[in-house]
Amino acid sequence: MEELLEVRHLKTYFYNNGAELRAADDLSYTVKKGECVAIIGESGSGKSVSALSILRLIPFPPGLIMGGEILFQGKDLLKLSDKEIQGIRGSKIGMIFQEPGTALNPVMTIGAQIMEPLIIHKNLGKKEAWAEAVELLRRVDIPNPEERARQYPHQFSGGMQQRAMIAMAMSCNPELLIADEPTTALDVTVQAQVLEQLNRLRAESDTALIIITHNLGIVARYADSVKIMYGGKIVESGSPVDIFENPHHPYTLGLIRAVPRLDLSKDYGLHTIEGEPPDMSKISPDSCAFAKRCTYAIERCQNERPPLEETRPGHFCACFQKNETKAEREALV
Amino acid sequence: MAEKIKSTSVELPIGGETKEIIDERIKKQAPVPKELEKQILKVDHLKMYFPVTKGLLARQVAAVKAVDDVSFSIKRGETLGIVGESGSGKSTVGNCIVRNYNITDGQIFYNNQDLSKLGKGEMRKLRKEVQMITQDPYASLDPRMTISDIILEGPRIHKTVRGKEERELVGQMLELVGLNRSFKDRHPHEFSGGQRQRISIARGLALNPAFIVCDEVVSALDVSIQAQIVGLLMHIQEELDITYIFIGHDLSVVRHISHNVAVMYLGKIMELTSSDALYKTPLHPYTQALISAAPIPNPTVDRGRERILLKGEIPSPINPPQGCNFCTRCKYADEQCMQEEPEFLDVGGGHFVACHKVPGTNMKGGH
Repeated sequence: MEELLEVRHLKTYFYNNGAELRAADDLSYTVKKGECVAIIGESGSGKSVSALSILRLIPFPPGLIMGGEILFQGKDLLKLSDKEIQGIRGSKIGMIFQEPGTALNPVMTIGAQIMEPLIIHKNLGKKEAWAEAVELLRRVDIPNPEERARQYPHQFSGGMQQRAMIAMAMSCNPELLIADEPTTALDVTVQAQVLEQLNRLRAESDTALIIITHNLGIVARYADSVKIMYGGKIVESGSPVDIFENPHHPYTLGLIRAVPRLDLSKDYGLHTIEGEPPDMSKISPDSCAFAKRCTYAIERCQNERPPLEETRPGHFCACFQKNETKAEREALV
Repeated sequence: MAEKIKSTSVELPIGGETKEIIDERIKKQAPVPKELEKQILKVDHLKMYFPVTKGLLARQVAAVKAVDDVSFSIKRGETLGIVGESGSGKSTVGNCIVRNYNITDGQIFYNNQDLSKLGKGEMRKLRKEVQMITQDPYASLDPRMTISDIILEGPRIHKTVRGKEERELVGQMLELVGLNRSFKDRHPHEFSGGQRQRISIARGLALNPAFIVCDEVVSALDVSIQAQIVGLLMHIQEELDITYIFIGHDLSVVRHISHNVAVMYLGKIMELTSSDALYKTPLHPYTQALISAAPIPNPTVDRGRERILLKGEIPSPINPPQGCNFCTRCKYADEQCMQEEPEFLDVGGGHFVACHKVPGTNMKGGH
């Protein structure tokens, strides 16, 4: 598979009252053509920033991309002019936001909103664009698409709004879709419908997907590759089997064991990671961000930042103590 | 290896001083009559309809059947989980039990007292025993009150503490929920979501209740914090012998904390059984779909599972379908399901289900 997107040493910092917050701190990852990459993290881990930086959607002030390269089909997105990046947003890279209720324009009909990118990027006439919009709604299983296209977002349920967002994001056949918590606001059965749909459309058109989420379960089901973020850094990355069945980082291990499992007996017990997610403006760049909550931490973790090292082909982990977690890892079911 | 897991699982700093406090609290709880020892709450054919009005005179034109004929009971010291999607009526059940609403029909017995027949004064006394903890730890704490005032609000109203005892109670409560005693003079904005939820729990416990309704208490929290709060609630239950109703939309979390789980859909309980049976032998097609939709964080297990995708969305509770409420989305639905409402029946061993197609409730068919 060829590489579609390559993020190299991305540094996105936020400045607030003189404090520097490293939301994305020297991030590097790649997305191959047609691949589904999941970025997992808790609130404040920098997972959304890592993806919003790709489309240069970081609000300034307070945010600023301080360094790095984002190569999309060989071009560095950070070096493009504002006009050039606008030509990529919505056409080659589509975006699906968390809350369709706030992301959709309440005073435009759904059809008109789907038409917009078609007219701007594909130079379609109004009539053709309308027909295409109706067809897109049909593809995401909205019943009576002709009638529905004339309705406003408030007339749609949450699940239907999110499907309309997917239709909009897919309208210009993008090479890459970025979905930021696409199903967090939805009910479980609707979540399953929407994800299944997104995955089907994506597979049909060979579109790559970056899915940002805190839900470990949906990642296990759909992702080809998983990145775990903590404190603005990727702490572990690999295939879903590497991450869920053979995790090396103490944080990944803790996270997986903190989720109750439906398929196991209740006696399996729930593990807790003590403490709270860190205040990112107070993490020293020369330490492991997880050290304060980590049961395996040694002195070195406080004074040196662990590099992301390959444990076996394709599986990376940033932890000095990764060999010490063996017993806990093997006890995983 | 098994020991290793145990040693790292939930352990709260209870011991020494706090242990004594707990023993004292258990002693303080009113003695329970023998025959009632087991059953603390019984809900009988509960209905809660909200009127839909129209026009200047607010004429009632329809009713939202938020809860429509729900029955269950809970044993002392156990947890009943109520799981359902938005609009299923799960939170309304909780609000009816704490009498935030005047119920439309049916009865709620708490320790054999019919709650709907209690007068204002009696109900006020009962409010000490039945508490509620709500979902949003940001909206449910008054930003202008100190933590100490928040925790003491109930005890001050009910005059259960005075003078020096106040200070002691706040300290005890904060310690019980794993917070530092010195937090008492701070304000809610100084705390994170997880800490705020601990404060909400401390407030709920301050009146020494026997029964707590937990309404989506972990839904707004991060995964690692969610596990802490679930662990804390389970630990408190063990120590203080409190009964919970745990309302949530995440089946795996609800199942983890509950002894029995009720699955609600459009104002009705579809299935009610022990939390282990719920995953192993789900009988109702809706429960089966819900379990299948809940992803399991293990790729080998999850990708090998059968996936049931429901069509469409939950119908409006103003105009629920005739017959079985689930018939519009059920792949097993036939003529009978569209006409007749299925009864909520015990199919053996306390496993209740409302479905025409489950063997034991109907001789004609099965899955």
